[in-house]
Amino acid sequence: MKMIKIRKFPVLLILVVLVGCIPAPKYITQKNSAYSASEYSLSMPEGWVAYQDTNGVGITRDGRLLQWIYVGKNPVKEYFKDDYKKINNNILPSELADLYIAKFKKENESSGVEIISNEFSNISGKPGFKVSMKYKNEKGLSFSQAVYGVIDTGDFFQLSYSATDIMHFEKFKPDFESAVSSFKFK
Amino acid sequence: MSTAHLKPMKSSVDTDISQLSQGEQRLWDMSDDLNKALRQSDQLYLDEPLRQYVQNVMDRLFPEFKDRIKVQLLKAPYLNAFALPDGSIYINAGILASFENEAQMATVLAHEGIHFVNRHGAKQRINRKNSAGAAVLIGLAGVPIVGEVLALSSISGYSQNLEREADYEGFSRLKAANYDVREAKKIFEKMLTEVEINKIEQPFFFSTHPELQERIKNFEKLSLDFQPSGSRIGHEDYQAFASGIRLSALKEKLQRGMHASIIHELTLENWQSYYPRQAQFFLGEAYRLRQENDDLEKAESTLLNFIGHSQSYTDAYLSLGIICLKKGRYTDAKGHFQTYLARKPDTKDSDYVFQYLKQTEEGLKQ
Repeated sequence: MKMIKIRKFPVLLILVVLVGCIPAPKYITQKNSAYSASEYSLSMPEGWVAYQDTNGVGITRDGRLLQWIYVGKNPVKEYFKDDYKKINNNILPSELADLYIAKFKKENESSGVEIISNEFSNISGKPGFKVSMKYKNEKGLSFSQAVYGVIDTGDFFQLSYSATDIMHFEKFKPDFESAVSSFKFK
Repeated sequence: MSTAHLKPMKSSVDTDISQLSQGEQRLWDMSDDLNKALRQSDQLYLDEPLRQYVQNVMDRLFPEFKDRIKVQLLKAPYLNAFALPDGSIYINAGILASFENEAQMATVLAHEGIHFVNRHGAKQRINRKNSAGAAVLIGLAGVPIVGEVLALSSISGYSQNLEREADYEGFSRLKAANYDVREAKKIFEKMLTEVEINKIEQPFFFSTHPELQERIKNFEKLSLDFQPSGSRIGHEDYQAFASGIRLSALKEKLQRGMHASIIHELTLENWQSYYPRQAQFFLGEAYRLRQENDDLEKAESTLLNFIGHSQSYTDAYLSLGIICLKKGRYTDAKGHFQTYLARKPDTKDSDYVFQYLKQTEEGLKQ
């Protein structure tokens, strides 16, 4: 009996630590739809579920494999580790978009990524890009993805939305665009 | 289990599936599944005149298998080709774009055809080590049926003995079809350069990086062994079909940030013999986006030279505008941006240009 107690203690400790580090999924209502990180805030769509991680927040309504909005930041040096030397104060938004596309295509080689459009976008007053693309998952299911990207004080911020073409992308695009419109740097 | 009883097939007559062993029938069924998966996956490069041309070369090399060996083209930009156990041969856009002539393409087709005719899929022990990487290369990672059949296809690499057999008998086929076998080793030299420039570690057509140098030596020897060879090189014929796929491969490389590869290819002395003039735009873009040392200067001179010959290629004006903006030459930048918008008024990227024109105006005021 004593042995069992000794073994249980570390397991409980780990669980307590884990629960402390990773917030539980949160059902989004009118009351808690505002999301705030240290550098930015945005309004999340009601009726969806938010999953927070160390770099940002992911949001889905029907499951992350069907539709997934992600808003987060990464240090430029880490995110564009192969190309960060090209990123300085003079980088133009279209050049940033080209670096993003190259990285995405290389990382998703098997998905047949097709770039649909690459446009300028003003993201909370800062010049950025919006790239739209299509790809297929490993089961052959078609997805669309829209990504807004911008650099601010050494971090790359991205607001992305991917969803199945057949059911979800167009239907929930307004929820994503609404979240993007509410995005504000502090 | 011994596979010594598996004799090479003599013609399409030997490919009646009902006459094959159960094990080999299963391999053919799996190949059929993979063929269907590839058709549904949007990974096929659809250019029927080019595909038919490649098929005709294959038929010239293997006339007795005319109705059995079927060639398909894949969009992937890497230097790769592979044979399935049922005689389906797949060849990537990347490798087709890199051939200088028909004889070089015939070398790859002959090698892959031998893998089928000599039933290497059935003789090979499963090589699962490379099959996952191979699935990525052809754009079918994660499709459950793919792994096993790819492990038994030439893309995962056969044993050294089977590869040597395919090399040697492939050379016989080249000679019999009157191709100049001296062209063969040039493909490996090109692959070696591509592997080094792009720091590629993935499995490649025929072999992995350390084996490429050995392969070049082996092909040099085979070229001597098979003298006198045929005389057909087929430069003009290949050019007539390959322009589109060469530009398509450049576009794919540019989007993947493979700037060094584009610059290497398009600064070779004789690049204009292989690429259409529009390729110069991709060279300018590769310099502009690589941004090393004096790349912006090189990009500008390349693009100016290009529009000197091809003023209708409007995208070059946007690139020139960006270069001038970055160099602080605002008047020039404004001119290029305005030309771009005037020639492409409905462009989706007009908001970029308006933003850059705004920056240009601010620069002019200072």
